[in-house]
Amino acid sequence: MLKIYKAGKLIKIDVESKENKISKLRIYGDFFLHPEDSIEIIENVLIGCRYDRCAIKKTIDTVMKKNNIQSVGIDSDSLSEAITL
Amino acid sequence: MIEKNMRVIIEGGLDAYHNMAVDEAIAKKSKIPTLRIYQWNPPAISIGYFQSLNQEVDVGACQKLGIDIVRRITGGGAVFHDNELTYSFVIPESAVSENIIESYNKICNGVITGLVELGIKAQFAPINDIVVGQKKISGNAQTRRYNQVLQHGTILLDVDVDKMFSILLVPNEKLKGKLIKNVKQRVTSVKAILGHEIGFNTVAHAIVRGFASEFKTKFTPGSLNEEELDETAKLTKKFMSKEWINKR
Repeated sequence: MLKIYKAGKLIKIDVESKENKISKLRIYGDFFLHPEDSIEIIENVLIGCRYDRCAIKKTIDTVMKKNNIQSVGIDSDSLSEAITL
Repeated sequence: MIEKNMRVIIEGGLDAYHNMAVDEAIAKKSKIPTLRIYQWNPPAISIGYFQSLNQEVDVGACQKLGIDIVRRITGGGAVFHDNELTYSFVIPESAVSENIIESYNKICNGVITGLVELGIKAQFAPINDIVVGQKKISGNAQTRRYNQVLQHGTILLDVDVDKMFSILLVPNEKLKGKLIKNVKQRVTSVKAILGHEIGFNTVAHAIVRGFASEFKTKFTPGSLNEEELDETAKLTKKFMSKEWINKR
């Protein structure tokens, strides 16, 4: 089921987990990420991540810093909350 | 540093795929900052880079009504391009603030100055909107690639919220009526503010003067060069492809 979360912008999440780890993840919405194709980097790095808000937020923070990803209308707080709704 | 001369291209309606291809081709190939002002023929829905086509758009309704659907290279939300003016502005990244909200504000000020000249008291509303009072008259979206900033946005000349929602999907169908009522209260247009219609060309030229004033520059009318035309042809294929439209 699609999870819908209103932060600065709308975040829509399609997530599945197995044994408390993320097994499938798509992030949709009307937010902005620069560069845009970094959404796939974020989705991929979260596969296998513990299905826990703190672990997800930490992973997002790390990958955004490492790849110099800028976001507008979405951040690691809102995204991790949306994923674990 | 701001270049002293910029190019302006004002053109009538291309289809959605060519419109998006031209914007990206300019960003990819242009060596001079370029303001392009255009419309969409036929009317179209553009969805943001991160949106899912099947979540946002009633594809069957669009087909019946002859409305094109295209995915943008910019984020943001779904936009119905009908009875509006679209602009795109391409400028080297080095010429605007690294801060994305500040650069939205700077580029939106070009639009705002043009609207104010027409008697419309428009203001920037972060993140990426222009409002009159509390009502949105313009939405804007930005990408940074090829060492350039590409910002495009729309100015509503007139608005038909019911028609817009006949082709957009909403998360909860039961609340659609309430949502439409809410959007009608939060959206306005050039016609609604001034009480009469103003033609596309009049608004377009006011926007050009607005950008000239904001960027302290002179605009020279121009058209796409050969390199940009070749790139447009290549990119049009991308924007028309099923892979791109169904990307997310």
